[in-house]
Amino acid sequence: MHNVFVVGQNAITSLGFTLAEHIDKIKNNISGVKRIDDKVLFPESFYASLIDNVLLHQHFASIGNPDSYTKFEQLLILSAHLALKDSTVNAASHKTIFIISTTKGNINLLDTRQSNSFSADRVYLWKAAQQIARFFGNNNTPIVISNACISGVVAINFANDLLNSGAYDNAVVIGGDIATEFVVSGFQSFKSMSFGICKPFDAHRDGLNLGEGAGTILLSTQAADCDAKQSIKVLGGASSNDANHISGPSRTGDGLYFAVTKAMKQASITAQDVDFISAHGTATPFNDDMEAKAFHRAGLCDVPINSLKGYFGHTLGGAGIIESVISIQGMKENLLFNTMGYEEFGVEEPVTIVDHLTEKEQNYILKTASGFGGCNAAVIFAK
Amino acid sequence: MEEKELIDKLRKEIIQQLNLEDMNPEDIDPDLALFGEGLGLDSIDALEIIVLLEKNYGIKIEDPKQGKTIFASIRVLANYILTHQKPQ
Amino acid sequence: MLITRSVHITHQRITCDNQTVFETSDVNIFTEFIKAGFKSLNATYPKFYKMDSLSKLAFVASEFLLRDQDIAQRYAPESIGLVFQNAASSIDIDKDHQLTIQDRANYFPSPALFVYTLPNIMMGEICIRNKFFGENALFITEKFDAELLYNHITVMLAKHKMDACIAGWTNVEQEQYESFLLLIEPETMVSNSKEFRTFDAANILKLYTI
Repeated sequence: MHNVFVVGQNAITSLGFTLAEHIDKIKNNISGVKRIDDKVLFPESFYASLIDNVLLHQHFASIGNPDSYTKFEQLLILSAHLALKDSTVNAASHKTIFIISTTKGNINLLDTRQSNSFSADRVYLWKAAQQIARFFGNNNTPIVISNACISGVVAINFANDLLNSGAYDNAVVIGGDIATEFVVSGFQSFKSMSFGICKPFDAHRDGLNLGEGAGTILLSTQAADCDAKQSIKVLGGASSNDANHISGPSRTGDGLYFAVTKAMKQASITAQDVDFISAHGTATPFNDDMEAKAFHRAGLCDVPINSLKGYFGHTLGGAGIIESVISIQGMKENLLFNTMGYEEFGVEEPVTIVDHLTEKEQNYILKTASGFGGCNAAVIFAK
Repeated sequence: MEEKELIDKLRKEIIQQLNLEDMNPEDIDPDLALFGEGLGLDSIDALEIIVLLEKNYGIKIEDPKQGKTIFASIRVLANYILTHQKPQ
Repeated sequence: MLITRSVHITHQRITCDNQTVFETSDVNIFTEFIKAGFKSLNATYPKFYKMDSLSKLAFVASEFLLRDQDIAQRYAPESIGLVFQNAASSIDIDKDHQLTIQDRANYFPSPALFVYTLPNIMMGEICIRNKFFGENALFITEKFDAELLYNHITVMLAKHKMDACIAGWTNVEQEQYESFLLLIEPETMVSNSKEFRTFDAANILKLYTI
């Protein structure tokens, strides 16, 4: 079985267009979540993390024609471009596969009030994915994974399985979603949005912030491509279903528990080996309790846990990848990042929340995600 | 509108809005608990009733937790509407 | 590994292992057809009526696939995985949700609609119904891709991420609908194993195109 290494990363959110900008702002407790008064997105004001459209346009114009690509496609292409340009991965090679994680892709094209010049079939995720892969001259059929909020982690796990089997040498795993009236109105109808910067695992948490963004993780079996001292491996992962309710998190945490314990088994490690958990931590009352129960049951109570949602919101199809790349960078720098928004412990089981920037050597980290449809996923990265 | 009349209307609206197939309005006892053991509605149904109240009665419920008491039964819901609806 | 059952729903007909199990010429719209198909199972499951078209289609296909199979008893619930493919995501319900928000004078987004704008909900519905806690993966592909399905499931089985799998294709767009689901199980768990086809890409395609 081929080992799979992380050989390149990028994140784009309201915090910036590079991973370095993200790390810098996170270290300094700067959140990109702001009050939004944009009647196009929602009739009332709300809190979210949005990307500056003018900046995105400018950045994209330096690599491609902004008129030929939708905002969603521009965001994912730009993220992949920035990750690829510092790596030795040949994006156009037939041994490289593009894997796209998204929930809604170009869903804004359904809005008949706004005219656009894009063909109607761009609303199909497989079509949008083709646009992205073809931009890089890659002729393999790109794979799209759309599993609600766990899409990013499922995409990393799928890429790892695919590369383990030797089918490809490299995978360009890109995840993202844009903020649209479509999604904002839906989450608002669920009454699940916070009236301020969200407060993961906090006693006074009142909901999530939506965020838009994209992340890229380049995976490769070609160990020569990475600096041995800094090399991070994907050890393994798993997914599960709560079998409980299509929107409400499990009250027991069973599903996430299965995903986490199966991921540890896939990675051949035990709970004692896990040095850090990058949780989903949306800051809705039920979700965070569910996660605390699952981590407790998996014997992970004493392992430091954070949620990054307070910095750039819940980026949906991007979340699993953006949060993985930031946590991997933390691992490289031996840092645990603060849980923005968290002040007072408020979940039902005694888990350990990272409440300030902390130095810690990490050899194994766990990333989890949970989403609508009762789905959960977990992946383990190792030094 | 009288309580009885409103109860009949609500029973029809709830069956339609919540897709309670194979159920007749008269099957819903106005005093039966809507959630839990009674009619067995769930959290999405509660949010749908919030939409129904806003759409059909102009009543806005911001905090879904309030739903727990307001949606105790059809009769409780009818009385809530009667006392909170703005005169048209 | 063996394909122990296959179900195909399209053009007002439901077949199970290539035998017609439900067919109607009385109704020609999808919503009526799938409801009639569901009723033919004599199952009591009020949640069915709350589902969107995509979930209804996947759900009915899974009910026929798993009928009298008691697979939840034969495998650990966390070892039964679902691997699905689809082309149009949740496009029909996406359009319905868009209609609820497009007119600001009549702006009433519905949580019961919005939740189904995620196509993986169809797998959630099947897991809830059958108490399956295993793997969930949904691939969006232009067409049914037997090769992708086979390769992915093979790796997942080899890594022991699952012991049994419900896999296939479920797609709805307006009146074009098709669900093709397979039950995949290890030889050791099946008594009359000679009766079944081996799980490989060629056999998947054969069953699909019959």
